[in-house]
This record gives sequence, structure tokens and C-alpha cells, in this order.
Amino acid sequence: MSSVIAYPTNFAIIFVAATLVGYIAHRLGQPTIVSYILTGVILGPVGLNIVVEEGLVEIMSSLGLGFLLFLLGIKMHFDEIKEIFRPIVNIAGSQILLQQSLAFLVAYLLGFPLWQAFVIGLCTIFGATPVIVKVLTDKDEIRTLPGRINVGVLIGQDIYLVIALALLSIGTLAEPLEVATTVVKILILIAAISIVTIVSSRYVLPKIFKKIADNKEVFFLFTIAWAFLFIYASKRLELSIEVGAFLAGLGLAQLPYSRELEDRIKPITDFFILVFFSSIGLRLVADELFYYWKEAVIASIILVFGNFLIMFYLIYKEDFSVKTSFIGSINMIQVSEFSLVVGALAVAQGFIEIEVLGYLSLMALMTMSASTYIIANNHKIYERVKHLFERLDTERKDVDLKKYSGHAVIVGYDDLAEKLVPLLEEHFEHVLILDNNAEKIEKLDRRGLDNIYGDFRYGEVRRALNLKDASFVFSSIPDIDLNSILLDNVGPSTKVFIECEWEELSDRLHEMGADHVLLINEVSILQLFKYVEDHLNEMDRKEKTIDQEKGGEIKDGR
Amino acid sequence: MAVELAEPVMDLAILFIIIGGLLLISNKLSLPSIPIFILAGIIAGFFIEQENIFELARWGVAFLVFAFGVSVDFKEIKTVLWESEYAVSIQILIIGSLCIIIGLMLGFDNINALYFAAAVILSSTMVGFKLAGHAGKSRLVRGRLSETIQFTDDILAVFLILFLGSVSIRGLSPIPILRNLVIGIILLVIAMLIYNYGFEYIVSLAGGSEELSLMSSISLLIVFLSISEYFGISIAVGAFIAGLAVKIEPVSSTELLNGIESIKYFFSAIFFAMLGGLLTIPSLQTVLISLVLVLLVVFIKPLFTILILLWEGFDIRTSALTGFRLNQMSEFTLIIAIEGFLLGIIILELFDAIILAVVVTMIISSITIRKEEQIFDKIFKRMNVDYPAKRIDNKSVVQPGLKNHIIILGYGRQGKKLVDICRSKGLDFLVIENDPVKLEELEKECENYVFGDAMYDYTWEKSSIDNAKVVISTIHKDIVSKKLLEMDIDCPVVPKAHTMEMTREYFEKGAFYVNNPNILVYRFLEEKVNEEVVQD
Repeated sequence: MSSVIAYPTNFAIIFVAATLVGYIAHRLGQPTIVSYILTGVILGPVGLNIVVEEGLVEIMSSLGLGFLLFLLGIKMHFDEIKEIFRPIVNIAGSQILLQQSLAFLVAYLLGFPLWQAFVIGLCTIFGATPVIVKVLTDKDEIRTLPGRINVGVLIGQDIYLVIALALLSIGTLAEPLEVATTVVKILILIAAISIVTIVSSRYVLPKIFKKIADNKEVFFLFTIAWAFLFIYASKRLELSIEVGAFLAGLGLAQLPYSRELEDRIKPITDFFILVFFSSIGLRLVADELFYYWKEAVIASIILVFGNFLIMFYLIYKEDFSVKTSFIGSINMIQVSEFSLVVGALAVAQGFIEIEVLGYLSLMALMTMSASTYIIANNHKIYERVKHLFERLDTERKDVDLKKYSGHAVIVGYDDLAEKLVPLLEEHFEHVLILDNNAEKIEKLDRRGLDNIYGDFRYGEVRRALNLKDASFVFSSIPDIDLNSILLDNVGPSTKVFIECEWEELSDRLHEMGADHVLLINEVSILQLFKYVEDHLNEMDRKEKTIDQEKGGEIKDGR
Repeated sequence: MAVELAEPVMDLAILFIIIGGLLLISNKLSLPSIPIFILAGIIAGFFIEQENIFELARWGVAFLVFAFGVSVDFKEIKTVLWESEYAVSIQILIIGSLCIIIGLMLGFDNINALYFAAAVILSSTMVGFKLAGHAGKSRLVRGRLSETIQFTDDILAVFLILFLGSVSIRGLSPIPILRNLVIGIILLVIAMLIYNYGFEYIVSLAGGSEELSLMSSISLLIVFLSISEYFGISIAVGAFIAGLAVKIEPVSSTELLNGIESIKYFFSAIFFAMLGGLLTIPSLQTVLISLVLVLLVVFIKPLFTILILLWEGFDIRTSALTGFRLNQMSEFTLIIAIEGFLLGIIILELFDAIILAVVVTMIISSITIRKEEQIFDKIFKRMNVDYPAKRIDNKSVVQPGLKNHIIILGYGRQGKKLVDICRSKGLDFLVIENDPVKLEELEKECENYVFGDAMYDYTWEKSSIDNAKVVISTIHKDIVSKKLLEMDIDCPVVPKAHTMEMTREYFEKGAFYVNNPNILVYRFLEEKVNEEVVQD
């Protein structure tokens, strides 16, 4: 007798299969997204045809897309691209135009009717944000200059994507006036929601999050509730959920907790996104997928080179160096999975035929697969081909992140570290403090101390600390593996002090190169005993003196 | 089409918006979250179609129990089961039987009485941890004790689910029970094999991709769920065993744990909300049953636990405070209830009553755990304070004529270090400790020790404090430190503090010195830093 009901097998099969395919894809260096789509293709009508998209799968699918955009919104740290804001706007705007035109041209020349070619152009524009962001993050390059240009341009495209989706959901293009009014209405609504986002981000959210930051569950669920609030509102206003979710995320992106939020939202997004991309694959039927395969291959090749050149030109034009321009462009040469999202919507609305979605899917699959290898080896490729760009001005140097040198670093701002700061300030010009607790960071801000809000686990955060150029490092992290990483990353002349509770770990830490391991319990008790003994002796001496005096008095007969 | 919004997603949105709103309010009041979810479910019930979120709610059960299983170490279970306090077994037997009798008196049939009893005896590790705000294991005796008891209860709960799942309307019969048990054991064996040989390999294949590690853990869950499903075992059992198979390396798996936890939060909230949605307007009978449940859980269960612990040899304070912590009902109770309900075994009134009782007891518990000391004082102050004297005498060893000794409060790492120092300097010392687990060590390693709670005057009397040279405390509990400072004695006192404010406060109140490890280590650190920097 089954207990809490038979749970749907479709979802189960998709999930397990996608995980398996994901493993294989990972070994081959492919992004998981590609493998999910492939899973859908294998399991669906094109392949084994054992799974259908129904109930639970649909729900999870919708949630997947919503959360993906929510996550995207959260990742938009405007302050990171503030410095390069103006160039970004130029690049993004021009890129959208140029790439769209190129895609349109290619499609038209390949034989697609005018209108379809236009929609294809609309769909093929996007760089694959998850792919790029993931690969770059894995390589710790997301904070580099090319990385940030990519992120900036992707942000621009995402905004465009959101508007495009909103537009496409209007429906059939009946009369121009109707279209125009709907467009205006949409833009106004988006603006309205954006204002709500900005206002709450400034005034409401920080207060709320400060109160709930310490309770993991409440923190997480409130974030989810926030996303759903916007999703609900935007659906009610007849915008798509993607717009709502994205704007919800945007509101949260500027808070100091955004990294924490990303951390928490990512797993559940991964969970749903698997289903989403699988279901895209599910929806394809073989003849639909391969109907335009020749065109897809040709288009892919042309677009890859074309997009690269467009991006290179645009970035270079903004006075960035050749290397930055090259790396920045080569990271962006793929057709995004969002093209499939937009394409799916376009099919639903009758703008294009389903075979065209197949064309887009093939292009996406091919370019995404190729680009993962290319991005992973972007620097190597640059080294190979840079001689081709010699005649361009290679004198340009780009300023990267500000980095300290000869500074003191504190990892983990506990009570001991707090006392240590004044002492360090006497000896070192810069003291940089890392902590992942929002309240402590606030305290540090108030005291005017240089700090970074983040978790030492992340490579990006460690890079920001520039450990190898530091003169002094104090670590209060209890985790021995993290301390081991820390010791690996410091320079040969860096002095490292590690706070440690366990005697057993002390030897290991010394072996790994720590200069001083502070065994809290041992040291504190030794010191305590010393002080107590001293004070007691002091007390004894005083008493003896008083006794002697008293004794003297008595002797004198008083 | 994914881009069209499925109606269920809108319903889900409404539910979470309500949850979000309620959580903000409840967070101010420091209320536990489960009652909030249930409440949200009740409210949302007016606006949404329950069926839409039903399937998602099931995943709530699965992930809830899966996460619990993941957090449990195979080794822990063995230790707990072999070395469990008698308290747990007796608690289960006595209280369980009592509850079955009460249940029968209330008019339930055998099966319902069984469910009734199960609802009372299970306390929860998960809830207990959340309420007490623990990040890790408790260092105080009472914390450790209540954790052990609750943990054993949780394991018991899983067995109960397995057992009760084999019950049908026709009643209990040995064959289905045995069958379920056998299947459960087979699954357990598979899980153990995976834990020992398979899981690390799977994770290494993932090559550092957190996403894949997470997905494979969930796939593991799904596979076990399928197997359970196929054999008609509760998915809660399958999920738990799947969780056991997941091996967590403390360092490298934090991402994995975070991921599972986040997903758990999402789905379990939906599950609890669904329970709220299933509630009907309570009848008189429901309220009555609820009341009895609450009384049993809040008063009778703690009372029995306290008595049992006293009988085992714990002092009144530890016993009482441990007992207090068990005054709630478990999340497992809810799972057992929903299963019973869906199988049509338990009556609606009992189902509703259980949910109501869980909400009430969880709220009560969250309040009492914050005020446990005050409650203890109110109740037991008037009781005989000499009661512990005999116990203390029985278990302590103090050399006659002991004087000018150093009294060390607490035999933990710091305490032991102090003992070492004293011994190396040939100084007399006496250790005060109240954790029975340390009794053997004390016997072996200390010439003088008093087994008693620092809050009792007699403990100090026994320690010959009037003749002592100094008292050094290694216990950083404010009430203990305050007790030290408030006692009317000549002996210098060194309480322990972890913060600057407390340190200052203690000095103001007359402390001879303060054992603040941070300050002490800092002095040491300061020396070393100056040395190092000067060298450059």
C-alpha cells in the first residue's frame, strides 16, 4: 500500500537521465545546459520517446525559467560596471543592432521568408549568459576587465531579452496602433515595476534583510516570496513572468547580501532549470529538429565569426586593449539558450514555424558546445593568434582592479581580530579585512576600515585579497582545508598567524607553513595562570606588608 | 509551453507571498517557522486550489526526511543505539503505554491509539536545534542529553513510519510488517554500500561541479524513492535511507549541504502549508483531543523524563532542563499523521488535532526554551535545596583538611589544562564538574573533585571554598559567573567571559580576574606580532 501517493515518473526519469548525461557532458567539457537539452531530445519524440511533458514537469519548467531570470537579476551588480558604464552602453546597444542585422541577413540569404528571418534575428542575438558566467566564474575571471565587459554587455542583452519577451507575448500583430499602444503600456509597466524595485531596494529591503539575515530559512524563503510577488504582479499585469522575476532579482542585487542570496538561490534554480531545458528538448520532434540542418550549420559558422568580429570591433573602438577586446569577444560567440526561449514563445504566438525552432536549437547546441571549449582556452588561443593583431595599437594597457601590496590581511573578523587591528595599523599602511557576516561588515564600515564582504571559499574573493603580496595574514577560520588553501596562496615572505582551537591541527598547520598557530585554549590558560599567580603573589605581599605593619603597631603596644 | 504560466505556479506564488509576509512578522516575535507555514496554508486555502501544490508538497516530505538522513552519520546511529540512555527506552515504554491507554479511553480504536501515542512520544532534533539556535553540538550536559534523546526519537520515528505503513484498515498483521522490515533492511544495506564505496566516487566523477554533485544526490534520492514506491514502502523511509547513503565531507561538501538545505526549505514549506490547507474547522472532539495531546506533551512527557533522569543519577537542574526541552512534537509526527490520514487509517479529528497540537506545542516550546532558567527557578526554588546534598556527597572525593587549593570549575579542555599546570607546580587543586560522563576521568585523574552543579551552595561548601586560594571558572555561562561573584566568600574569583562587556561587568562586580580567552590570547599575539614585524 503506497503511502503519500505515487509520485510522477516522468519527472523522475528526466531528472536521473539528465544527471547521467550531465556527467558525460561534464567529462567532455560541455556545459550542463547543453546536456539537459540533449536529455530532453533523447527522452522525447526525437529519441526514445518515453517521457511526456505534463503536470509536475510543466510546473518545474516554469519555475525553472522564472528562477533563472531571478538569479540573473540578482547577479547584476551595477557598481561593478559603473566604471565602464558608458562604454558598455555603447557596446551593448551597437552589438544588439549589428548582430541582429547579421543574423537577419544570414537567415534571409539562406532562404527564410522576410518576416521569419526578422524573428530569427531577434532570437539569435543573445550571448549565453549562464554559460559565460559559469565558465568565467569557474576560471575566476568574472571580475577581470574582459569578464566585466562581458557581464555588462550580457546585462544589456538581458534587459533587451526581457523587453523582447514582453513584446512577443502581445500576440498577433494586428494593427500598428494596437501594437504601439501595447508596446507603450508594456514599457510603462516595466518602468513602474522598476521604480518599485529601485525604491524598495533603497529603503525597504536593506532593513528587512538586516533583520532576517541570521536565520537561514527565513532569509531564503523571504527571497523566494519576493520573487513570487513580482512574478504574480507581472503576470497579473499581463507581462511575462520573466520580466517580473528579473526585476525582483534586480532589486536584491544591490544589497550587500546579494552574494549570499546567489549562493542560496542557485541550487534550487539548478534543480528546476534541469527540467526546463530538458523540456525544451522534449518538445522537439526529429524532423522538426533537423529540417533546416544545413542552414543551421552554415549559419552557425558565419555567426560565430561574425559575432566575434562585431564584438572585437566594438570593444576595441572604446579604447580597450587588443587583449581585452579579443578575450572579451571570444567569450561571446555563442547563440544563447534564451534564443530557444524566445523562439518557443514565437512559435506559440504563431510568428514562426516549429521547424525554425529546430533550426535555432541546432545552432544553439552547436555554438554552445564549441564555445565552451573556446572560452575555457581563451587565453591560449589569444597567445596563438595575437601576432595577427600586431599592426593594431598594442600599446594600450588596461587598468585592472586596485590591488594592495605589503598589506595586512585579516580573514574572519572575530573578537581577537578586532583587538589586533589597531596593532596592525601601527605597523602596516593598509589593513584589509574579510568577513562574511553582514553585521560585522557594517561595523567595519562604520569604523572606516577597509573590508570585503564575502566568503573565503570563493576564488574571486581570495583574488581580491591579493594574498601573495601581503606581508601579514591573520586567519580566524576554523576550517583546516581553507587554511591550507590560504597557506598555498600567500607569498614566500608573508607572515601567517592562524587561530586554532584544536591541538591536533596545530602540527598540521605548522607543516603547511603557518608561522604561528595560536592554540586558543592552551595559550589562554597559560596566560591566565600566569596573571592569576602574579596577582595572588602581589596580594600576598601586600597582606604580609600590612601584617608586618600591624604587627609593628601591636609590638609598640598600641 | 513553459512561457505560459501554469496555474499552479500562480497558486504557488500566492502561497509564498503569504509565507513571506508572515515570516517577517514571526521573525520579530522569534516564532518557529513550521506553525507559520501551517498558518499560511490555512490562509492560502481560501485563495488557491490545493490539488495544484499537492505533488510539490510530497517532495516536501521527501526532502525534509532526506535532509535529515544526510545530516545523520551512520556511526552516530550506532553509537546512539548502543549507548543510548535508558531514559529513552523507558520514556518510550512508559509514556507510550500511558498514551495508548489514554487514547483508548478517548474512544480510539487500537490503531488510532497507536498513532496518538506516537504523536506524543516523538520529540524532534530538527525543531529542537532550530529553537535553541544551535549551530553545532551542545557543550552543556543538558543540551547533549536532550539532543541524544531527540535523535533517538527521530530514528525511532523512521521505524515507526515503516511499521505503521504496513498497517491497513484491517489492522495489524505480522506478514506485511515483516515484509516492510525486510525491504527496509535491504535498502539500508544498499545505502551503506553506497555510503562506503559509491558516494565518494560519484562526487569525484562530478569533478568539482557543485551542480552535478547536487543533482546526483537528488538522483540518488529519486532512485530510492522509486524503489520504496515500487514496494509500497513509505517514501519517508526511502528518503531517509537515501540520505544516509550520502556521505558528507565537512569541508568540500558545504556547497552540497547548502544546496540540499535550500531545496528542503522550499519544498518542506509547501508541505507544511498543505497540512494547514487540509485542516477543517475543528469540532469539539478535535479540540478535546488536541488539548489532551498538548497537556501530555508539555507537562506529562517532561515530568516523566525528569523523573527517569533523576533516577539515572543526574542532578535536578540537568534533569529538569533536559525535560523542558522535550516539550514539543516532531515534524515526523506530521509525516506520520499525513500518511495515516491518506491511508484512511486515522480519523479526521485525530489528524486535525495532531496538527493543531504540533502548532501549539512548537510555539510554547520556542518560548520556554528561551526562558528555561527562569521557569526552573520558579518551580524548583521552593523545593528542598538540600536534596542534591546526598548525591553530591556520594559522588565526590575531597581530601580532609584541604586548604589553599585552587578550585577549577569545569573539567573541559581548559579545566584539564589548568589541572596539568597545577600538578606540574605541585599545587593542590579541586575540580567541580557535573557531567556524569566525566566521572570516570575525574576518579582516575583528580585527587579532589566535587560532582555537583555550580549553582548549588552545597557544591561550594563541599569544595571547601572558605579555605581555597582562588576559584577559576572555565564555564562561560553568565548565571554561573554571576553566582560566583554573588557568593559571600573571601576567596578570589575568576569567572569566564567571552566578550568585552561581560569582562568589564565582572570586574565591576568584584572579579579578581577574568578568564577571557580572547584578551589572553591577544596579549600573547601582541608579543609575537611585534617580534615578527621588528625582525623585518
